[in-house]
Amino acid sequence: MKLKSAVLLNALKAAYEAVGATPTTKASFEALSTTATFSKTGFASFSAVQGYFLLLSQNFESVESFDETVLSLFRSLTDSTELSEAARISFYKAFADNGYVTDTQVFEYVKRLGETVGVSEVFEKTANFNRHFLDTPETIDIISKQLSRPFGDGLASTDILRFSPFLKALNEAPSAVDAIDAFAITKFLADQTTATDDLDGEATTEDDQEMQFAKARVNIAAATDDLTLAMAYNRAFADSYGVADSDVLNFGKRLADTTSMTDVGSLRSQGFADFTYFAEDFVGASRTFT
Amino acid sequence: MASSFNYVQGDTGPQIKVTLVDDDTNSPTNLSGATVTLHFRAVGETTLLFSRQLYVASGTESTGIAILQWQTNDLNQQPGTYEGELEVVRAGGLRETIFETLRFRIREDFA
Repeated sequence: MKLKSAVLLNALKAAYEAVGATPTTKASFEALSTTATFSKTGFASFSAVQGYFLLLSQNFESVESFDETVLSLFRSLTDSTELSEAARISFYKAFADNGYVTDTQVFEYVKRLGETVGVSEVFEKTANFNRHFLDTPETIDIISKQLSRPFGDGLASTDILRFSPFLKALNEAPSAVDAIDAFAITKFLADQTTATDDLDGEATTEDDQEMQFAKARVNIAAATDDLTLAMAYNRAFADSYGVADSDVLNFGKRLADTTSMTDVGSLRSQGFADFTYFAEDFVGASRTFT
Repeated sequence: MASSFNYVQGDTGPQIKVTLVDDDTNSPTNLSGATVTLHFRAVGETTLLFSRQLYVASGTESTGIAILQWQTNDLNQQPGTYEGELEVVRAGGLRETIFETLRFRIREDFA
């Protein structure tokens, strides 16, 4: 082979790597007895091991979607939360669980773990009253006023003149009063007879008959007051109950037992002779009693 | 890596754990958001028998580990030799296929 040009092997290798030559190209160069080194970018090798490595493979799950009507009379494993208000009266236990939230009042008596530290400041003031050792006697005149009750008790006797004009006098003046407590209404039995011929009964010296008919001018008006009582008997709206007595013949036995005793008879007392000796009771006594 | 993984016809185990490594940095490939798929076919054949996505456990994406769990009838194949191709699709859509393949050998089941 006639060499037309010479290229350094390192430069040729770099050129091949830059263009990303394939193994086929590599084989062609090897066929031409040209030595070159290729390296493929990315992975080109692997290792495989046989064994059990997966306990569960997700690649082989078949996912299907279908609609199915299922009547389940057992409790489902999944909890379904529902909020519904049904107006019904059920006398059986529902299969669905209903969750309730109740508020329970709980009093817990626990000891607090935290310790509260309080810092307080107490102000203390000490006052010392020291007595002086030096004792100075003094003479002091103290003016004092005593408000005390005197022990003397003065008695006084006083005459009080009281006027009591409306009091009852102590002396009593009795008086004798005749009280008329009886009225005697008597009619005089004497009848005075006058001699006259006048019709009017008036005795005059004239012998004439005079009759005067005078109309009395005095009109006496009388006022009377009639008391009239008007009474209205309105029927009450309330129902009135009536008690009727119906004739009922009861043939029952009377509870009350009336006992009567009658003593009827006659009494004859005759000791002188036989009853048939006299026609009637001559000596003795005879009576009838009831 | 074993040269060939042996199975009996109709098996669904054991699993296969694949650790992907970046060749240039020699560090585990970060599979966050990526999918790893095994394409299975018989050796010498072009017909693809099935494709099975590997499982990347949550929290282990940065370790480059993907696990293959066989499904029923995946290995219910005729006795013979098979090969698998690993294909990685990154989160951004970048498709990277491992050049090396996995080799499988399946024998006939007794019962």
